[in-house]
Amino acid sequence: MVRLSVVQLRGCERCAWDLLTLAKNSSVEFVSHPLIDGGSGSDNDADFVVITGYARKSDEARLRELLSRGKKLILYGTCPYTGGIFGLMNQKGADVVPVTEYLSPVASVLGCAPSPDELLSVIEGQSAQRQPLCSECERHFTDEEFDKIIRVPDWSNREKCFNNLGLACSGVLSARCAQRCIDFDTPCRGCVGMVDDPPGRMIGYFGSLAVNLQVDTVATDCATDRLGDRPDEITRSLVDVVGTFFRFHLASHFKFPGRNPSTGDELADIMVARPIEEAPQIAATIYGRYGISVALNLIEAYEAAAGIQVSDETRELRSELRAAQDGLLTALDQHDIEALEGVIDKIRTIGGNEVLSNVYFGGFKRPVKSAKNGFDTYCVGPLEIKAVHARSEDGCSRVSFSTDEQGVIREWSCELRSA
Amino acid sequence: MIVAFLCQNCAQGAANTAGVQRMRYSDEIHIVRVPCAGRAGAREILHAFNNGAEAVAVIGCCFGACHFSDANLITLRRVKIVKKFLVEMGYSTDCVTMYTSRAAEGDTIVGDFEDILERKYDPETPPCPGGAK
Repeated sequence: MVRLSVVQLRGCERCAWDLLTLAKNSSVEFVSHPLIDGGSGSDNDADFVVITGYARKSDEARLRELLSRGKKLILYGTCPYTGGIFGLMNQKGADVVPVTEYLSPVASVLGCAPSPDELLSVIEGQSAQRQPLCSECERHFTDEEFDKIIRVPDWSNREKCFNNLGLACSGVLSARCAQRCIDFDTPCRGCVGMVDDPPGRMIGYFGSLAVNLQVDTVATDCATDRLGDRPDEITRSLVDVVGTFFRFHLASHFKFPGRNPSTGDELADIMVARPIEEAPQIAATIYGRYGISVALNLIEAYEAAAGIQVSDETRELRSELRAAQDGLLTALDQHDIEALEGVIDKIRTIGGNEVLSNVYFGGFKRPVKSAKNGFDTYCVGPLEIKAVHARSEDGCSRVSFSTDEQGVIREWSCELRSA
Repeated sequence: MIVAFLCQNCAQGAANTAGVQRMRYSDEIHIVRVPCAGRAGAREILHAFNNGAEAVAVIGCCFGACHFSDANLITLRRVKIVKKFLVEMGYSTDCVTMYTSRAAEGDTIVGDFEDILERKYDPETPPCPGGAK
């Protein structure tokens, strides 16, 4: 029997509730878990202290105190290891830091979110098996350079690697993960890095493939050339370099806080400046237990504002997801682990994974097992990117936002309602 | 401190020529010689910033004259992406730039160095990550 104490720092709590499903396993006992005892439990009898969530500089004293207790520390999830997706707050001047700045863990289980089974195998002494993600991807890489950067893939082409199509995918330097966004036509953003400095390497790799794109240059006084600052194909089509290449690594790989003004809301700071085509998955991730509701409201608000038609089957599947959202809130409130497992399975069945990679504007990217009609009745269509002011609400959240002509979110507000 | 990645063919050659001609340039410039401008990418540029560089320049061969096929053109795109990254973070677009130079003409690289300094101290633009203007 392994006794675990779970410490949740800040963030979405998804890792914490995933870990809760281990409580059914006879070889694991939780001596302290934030979703059961509110973090008040003692870790005196714990064999391992599992740290989840991201930290800010003000958490240093708490982390040093954790370290001083002499327990074996395991980092669970990408957030404590690199700052995770919440590191994107640093773009607006926040001070998210990787926990590894203050303490050394005995092991790290990476992913957003990882599988609790990986934690079990690490505890049993097996080293984390990090297989390259590309080796499992059904798309095939060629040496073809792209002629333009695209933002939304052609849903009918499932043969060619995203990077050859002109859509950055960090799968080339990432390891197999529990969420497998690539299975749902969603490019990888690298939550499980396999190399040092994933963003730097990814920019280098993508830049190599972008050699056919026009870049602005200007002449210097000595009749040589200098890279120019005028907008060109790269700046126009890569609308969010931070969110694309630094999605999970901003806090760990760029130590300076951004100089952009904060909106005053931590999560809105992450959503602002993200392109609309990436926003549903980011919202589903960072809003934690309310993620499904926020992501669906975002999608439905944009569809209504941009005039995207949605089929009845899509609406039906989305209402099933909303039922799963209510089920998730109830299961977490009542600490009902069996119900929680059922809800997570349901979310995975419809949404593809826990961060809803399969859910998109206009429909679903891949067939859903529980659908009553054929895939052609709810498959995703083309996404028109335009400037909109949009709002939508349901029983759990109210979302309103506006995008600019490039489809980048410029204003974002989200109000959460308890069930 | 300004870190300049100089390719060993044209840029370092130009710096050597400038040295032979006793040309002067600022002691703020710290030269890192690389085999080719293609060797200096986003990793090296961000590493320089994270370790205190106030501005970074990558200097390679003239377009069409790269000694390693077209690596300077590849670096041009990589540096452009890093430029965009810094702008999205709220920093100056002038923090990182790519130049070209000719080995036989020392004034080409000294001109590049002067251009970097002029841009770094331009009060009209936002600061660079490594320090105030």
